[in-house]
Amino acid sequence: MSDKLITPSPAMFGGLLKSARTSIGYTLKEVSGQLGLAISTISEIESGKRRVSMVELYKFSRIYQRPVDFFFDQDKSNTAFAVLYRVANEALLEKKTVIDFHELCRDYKSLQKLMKSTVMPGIPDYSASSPSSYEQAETLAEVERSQLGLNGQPIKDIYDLLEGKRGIKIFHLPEVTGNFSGAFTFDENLGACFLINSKHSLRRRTFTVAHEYAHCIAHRTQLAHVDTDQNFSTRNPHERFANAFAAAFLMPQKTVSELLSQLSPELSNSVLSETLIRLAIYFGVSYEAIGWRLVSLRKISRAQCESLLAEHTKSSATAKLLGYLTNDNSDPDVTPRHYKYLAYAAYKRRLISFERLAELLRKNYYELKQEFSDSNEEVAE
Amino acid sequence: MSPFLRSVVIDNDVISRLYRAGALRKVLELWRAGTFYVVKHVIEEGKRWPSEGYRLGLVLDDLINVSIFTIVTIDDTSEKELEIYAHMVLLGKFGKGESESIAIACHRGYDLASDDGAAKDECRRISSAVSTFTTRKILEMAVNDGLLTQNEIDSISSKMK
Repeated sequence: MSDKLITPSPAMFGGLLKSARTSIGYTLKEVSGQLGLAISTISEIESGKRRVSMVELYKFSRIYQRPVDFFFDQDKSNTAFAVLYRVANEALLEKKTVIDFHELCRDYKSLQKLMKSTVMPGIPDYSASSPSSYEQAETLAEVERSQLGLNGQPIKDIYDLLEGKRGIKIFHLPEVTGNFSGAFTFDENLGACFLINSKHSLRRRTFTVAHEYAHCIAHRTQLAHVDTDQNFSTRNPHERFANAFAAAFLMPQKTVSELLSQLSPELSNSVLSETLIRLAIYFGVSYEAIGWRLVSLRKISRAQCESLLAEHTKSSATAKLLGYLTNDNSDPDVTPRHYKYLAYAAYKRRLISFERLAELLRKNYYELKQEFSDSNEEVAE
Repeated sequence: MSPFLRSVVIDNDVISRLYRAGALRKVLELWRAGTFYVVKHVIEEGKRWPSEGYRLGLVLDDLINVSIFTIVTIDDTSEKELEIYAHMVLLGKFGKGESESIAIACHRGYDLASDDGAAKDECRRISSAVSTFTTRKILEMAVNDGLLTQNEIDSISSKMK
């Protein structure tokens, strides 16, 4: 048997073992019980004072729900994810969801390395000026839109925009606990990564992505942040700023005003349900989002907005007739488009196997094989 | 008589191709019971197939019940087997099922049935004693041993495409 196997020094595992244990929330005592090792032994392993065998490492990986390669990761800085695990715990987010998100981000990084993918230019950081006011949100949104070359146009696909021009990794996972909407983390090695609740509609997810982008550029020193439903209606200045930024980023003031004057020349008195639906479709946002945007731009009063929202039901015939419901509720893919491109390109270049491709895409091997077979795209033996 | 001199760990690729051709049991039952080992992960992945998992699961359970397949898992007490497994995972090229299959084959002295060229190459690199077989090679062996006719093989092969 060949001796040319990867055999790293076991001393390197300590920090990552501790990181994996704390991220899943186990105490030394709990792990001791599951592994049959003394607490002092695990403590020595974590501090790098005791050698860990492959048998022990494998058992750790099972308990901590991590692939074995996690413990061999040379990029040991997990500061941002350590923060995320803590805030996710406070927000009652499933630990497994955050671990899955972390693994997806690691896989993205591995694919970039494997494919020698170009490193994206840096993401702007405005955290030094601590922006928090509504006016600052409007200004910053305009600056960002300008830098992204959007002018007054609606953002047709915020995923492509932020992944393509900012290099942000945006993943979807279903999360039903804790009213989770989205999260961001800015990791030294993995870059800016967003997790969005796949159970939400496209329009809602679009707003959540813009909201997380606000945190990413304005509150980056937090390193990680979790948003629940409550955060979107909170009086917390950071959340109010992120909401205002998201609204201005997705629905620029000038364009809203121009469009509204076309649709509703007499303005506030004639802003009807169908006007809101038309605007929501144009900007790719929800009926609620455009309603509150008109309030913030003083186009309608709060009372009018509440009345319009009460009137609107998403299954209404008008919404259906105007095309509001089209393509809004299909489940998004777990992985971003560029990630999928890199994975497929790696497979086509025979850098990874088909089984690995399916794993990276978080798809069932047999289902993916069937899809490839049906379209005659299988790579030859 | 079995042309397989040793037990064979069979991976997703081979199971998938033969199943799609409707020939999983027909081909594998030609050889003596106990010839083929399948890692648990591969069986579970087959059963998780959203559209066909239930039916494939029935076929796999049937093959296990009549000892055509034997479920096998990584030996979590073996330093060497786990070392090979970790090596496979760290390469980042292979899936979990392939990594386990290769670790088991290389460590226990079994052979490997896989259609993935890189997996077969890596397996031979780790242990030159391991023989590897593709689905087509298995079918050719069945013809050479007179277990299936060329017409039957042609029919199966056409459905595998």
